Amino acid sequence: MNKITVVSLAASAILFAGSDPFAGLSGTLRIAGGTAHIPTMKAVAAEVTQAHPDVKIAIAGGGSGVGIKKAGEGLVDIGNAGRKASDAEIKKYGLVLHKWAIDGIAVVTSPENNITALSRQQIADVFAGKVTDWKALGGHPGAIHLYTRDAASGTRKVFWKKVLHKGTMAPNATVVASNGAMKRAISGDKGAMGFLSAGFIDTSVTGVAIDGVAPTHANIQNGSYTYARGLYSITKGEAKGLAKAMIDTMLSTHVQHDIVAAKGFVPVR
Amino acid sequence: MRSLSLFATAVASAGLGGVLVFLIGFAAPLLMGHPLGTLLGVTWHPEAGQYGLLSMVAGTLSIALLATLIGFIGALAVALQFDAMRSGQLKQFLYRGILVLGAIPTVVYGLVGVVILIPWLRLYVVEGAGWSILAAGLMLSLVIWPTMVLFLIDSFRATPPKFAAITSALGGERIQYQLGVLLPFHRRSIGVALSLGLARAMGDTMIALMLAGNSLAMPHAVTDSARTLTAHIALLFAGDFDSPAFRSIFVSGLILLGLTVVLQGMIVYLRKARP
Repeated sequence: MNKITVVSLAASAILFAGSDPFAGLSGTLRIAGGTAHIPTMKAVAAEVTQAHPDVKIAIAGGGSGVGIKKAGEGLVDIGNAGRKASDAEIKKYGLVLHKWAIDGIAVVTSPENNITALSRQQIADVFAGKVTDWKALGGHPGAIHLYTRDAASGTRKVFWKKVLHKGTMAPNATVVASNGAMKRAISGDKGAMGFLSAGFIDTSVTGVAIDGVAPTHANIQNGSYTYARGLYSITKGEAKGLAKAMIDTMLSTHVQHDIVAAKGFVPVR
Repeated sequence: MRSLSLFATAVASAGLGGVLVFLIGFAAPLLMGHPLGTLLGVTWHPEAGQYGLLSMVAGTLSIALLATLIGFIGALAVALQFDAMRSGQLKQFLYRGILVLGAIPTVVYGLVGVVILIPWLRLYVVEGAGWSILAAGLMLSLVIWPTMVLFLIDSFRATPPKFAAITSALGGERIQYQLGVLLPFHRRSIGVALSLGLARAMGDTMIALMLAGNSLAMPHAVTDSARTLTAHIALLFAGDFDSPAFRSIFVSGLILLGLTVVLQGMIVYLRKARP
């Protein structure tokens, strides 16, 4: 028995403690869509492929809209979405939704910014373009640089619905294409305000408290931070084969407790 | 030989015609259902039934023209310098260097822009976040520059050597030769170089997507954020599948094709015009 086998056996023992959804499977699993899902799924994929060298897992971004569309058209096995698929989408494609985490939607600023708390109304006014200077929010004078996401973003859709109450968004906002790009843009721009999957918050960006409630893991878990959404993995019809194994793994106790939570999301089990 | 070129022309025309038919076919429902005024408006707000693409037209034109202008001036200057340089290892080395620059994938230029150019612009030039027409235009000029400069260098190299000899014999300086003989002689090639650069600049998606900020507002200055038609197509294509907003990407494609034809036509006209 060589070293790699020992390591992979040990890994699979830790990972699945008896029942291994990937046992006996091989091939390539294609995943695309929501960008909030990526860090968690990549970590899970790394464990799975280490234990099962015959399984390859390809994870791409694109946004929730892309995940839903590609899953529906059979271009990927699993489409990720940070929002519920609409009834029209579910009906058109025969989609099945699997929710494996709850994620907050946070308003974020640069750590160099002294603003750490705002009211929901203030945020809506800023995104509507009515308030354009940090001074009006009690900060150091300077233009507010607005950042938003493209139309494929589930994060944007939920933010627009829950935080902006479907209000207008100023057209001059800079558009970035993923949660990762949003985090990078905000962290490097001290006049920036944008919104981000709460799981992505670390020391490089500040999650602003809305009406006194900060987007912390604890507040999202206990429900006091209400700007939250599910993270879904979507299949066309019931999940089968590798896709089913992946979704079962995402919902396993080990992944839910040791990976989902560690990546900053709230487990569903 | 003649039949081969006829065949190639036929294939190319059929391809272009096919693209046109395809675009019009897919854009038709939107073109029928909404007056052109809506499509040529400034406001893009699909939730309110407004599909104005004019800001994107402005974004495309400003970024492409800025990039072509900067890139073309740079290419012409370098090509003239090359013409004046003595052949040798240095010249060889520089030529190979430009070839390498031309082979670097666009996304690498985009990354350099995000990591270096944007923060620099934010610090020193732009009142704002740095994502702007200027950022995309500058980086895009670097992307299209190698194509233009290589074409010009190769054209200039094909000048009959007696031209330079005659100019010298008449007591002309190198610069007089270049301005009075070389450039007028290669008027056609210069036009082609301009066409090549402009075509690449108009068609670019990645640089604009990464650096221009993609904002939906009508740009008023080069330091404003803007969205090109190509970036608009890329951003929309990901998001939707069957809405009027999705259909508008075919209208965007039609507009892009139209703009390219008009601009290229202008270059051909300029090229043919007597100096």
